[in-house]
Amino acid sequence: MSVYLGLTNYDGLTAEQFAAPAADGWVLGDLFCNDRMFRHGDNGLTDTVRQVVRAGREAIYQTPMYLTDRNFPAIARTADYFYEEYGVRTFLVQDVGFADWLAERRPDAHLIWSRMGRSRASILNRELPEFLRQLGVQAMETSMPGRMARISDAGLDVCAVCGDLRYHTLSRECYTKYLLGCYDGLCGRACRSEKLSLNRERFSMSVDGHLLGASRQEPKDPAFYQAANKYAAHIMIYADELPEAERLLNTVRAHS
Amino acid sequence: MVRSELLAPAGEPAALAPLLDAGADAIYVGLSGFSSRPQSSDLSLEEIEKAAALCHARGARLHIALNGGVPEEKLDALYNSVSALDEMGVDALIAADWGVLARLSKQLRHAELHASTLLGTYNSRTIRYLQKLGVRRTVLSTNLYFDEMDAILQTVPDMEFEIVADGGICFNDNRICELPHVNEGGAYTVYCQQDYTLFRNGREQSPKRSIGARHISSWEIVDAYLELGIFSFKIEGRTVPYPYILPRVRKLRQALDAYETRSGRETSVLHYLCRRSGHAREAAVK
Repeated sequence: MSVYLGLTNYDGLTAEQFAAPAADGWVLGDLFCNDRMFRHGDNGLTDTVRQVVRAGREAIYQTPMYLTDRNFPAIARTADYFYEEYGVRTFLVQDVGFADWLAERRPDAHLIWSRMGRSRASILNRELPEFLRQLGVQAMETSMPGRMARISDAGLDVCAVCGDLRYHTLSRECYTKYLLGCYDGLCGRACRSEKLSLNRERFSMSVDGHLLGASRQEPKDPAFYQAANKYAAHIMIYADELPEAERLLNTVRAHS
Repeated sequence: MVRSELLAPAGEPAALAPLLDAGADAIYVGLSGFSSRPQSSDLSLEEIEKAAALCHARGARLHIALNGGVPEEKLDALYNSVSALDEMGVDALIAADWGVLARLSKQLRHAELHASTLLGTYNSRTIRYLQKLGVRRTVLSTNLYFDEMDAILQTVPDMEFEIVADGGICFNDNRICELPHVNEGGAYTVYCQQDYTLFRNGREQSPKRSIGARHISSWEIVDAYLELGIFSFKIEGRTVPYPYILPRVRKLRQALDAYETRSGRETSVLHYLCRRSGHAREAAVK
């Protein structure tokens, strides 16, 4: 059973910390904005991929949710660069066009259909795994035991998600920057330094960059761990900070 | 002459004739049991057959929306219904489930296959993939910017494109929004359109603000979309009683018809603004 860790933010992590946890690798690349995940944005992503690989761990590149013709070439070049320079072979995808491009460009790349792919395919029926297989995808992320069975039966690898992202709503634009106008011009990473919330009577939401009302869902049901063991799932642990990720890692190990 | 289509929603059979009278070129309806809208706003197979006959007699088209993902237990019934729809001559099926769309591309013999906005198509590569699946038209994501639409239309000119020209356009990604849409004391409440107080590090900021956009109507800038090459202009609202849809149809009809009578200078300015300098459209530059 392989285990991978993915943090919301990697500021200040050292090479020793990347090597220390009993995990096989790290998920790198923000779903929306690398300025939130890395101190130096896209440059920070590249630096961190280098650190992880030098620490002897696998780097998984998580590609963005919103790939328009504006940023598609840049993300494609980034994926290509990580593949050639750092030996990255596993990619989290949720855009059909990008998966198609990557599968053609790098046939030996391992493509995982991300849990956020539910934005493009909300129902898991018998057609979806076959469609993804034709696309070139080899695995699917999910936090639901019932889905693990269906994914495995369809011949795809299961990536069991611990710490699934939950939210009230999200946008391709940053609420902090565009909607709330919290600062002028350049991104000041207010999503990292300020506690923002939108409140109305009996209802409130945190503002976390592109997300409103964001939280993580830790599996409490033993069925999750039973299914993950049964289907030989790769475990994907997502957390905001390293201590939380390590705690979840210990929980997963205790159940395996 | 620039071709375009005004696509209007019908939630009941009685809506069809008035919508066509108001200027709709095509009508779209939901298939009972397979759309994400309430059952009462969808049509049965028998009603659709009559609707198709009516539309075709009036020189109009009928599209069937299969919105939303299709649960496993409904798949076989769906494919049976699709066969019936295909044989009865509906003009298009709008699919919103990637796996089902791929399957329908092999099943359909007559009707066109359209890709719903719910599929989340944001780039040319995805649209090329849809083309390989035999999709004839793509309904573009509502949160694409003009230049992004332009890039797609220039890269994939042999695909037909549709936009939501009149309806609720959301700042949020409305395909995966979990914000409550509830009935509060008789009033329908969409939480993103309510006013919120912003707190910053625990301190209240003013003024109150909402986080969603109001209803939009693109009829005022329909010329710009026509310049881009958008073909179909969809009005949302299958669950809205059709008397409320009719004025929106008439307004959009006026705007689309007025494009043909624009002066050469006006359309040239639009052409420049829409960055189509490399792809001049004869009808736009008089």
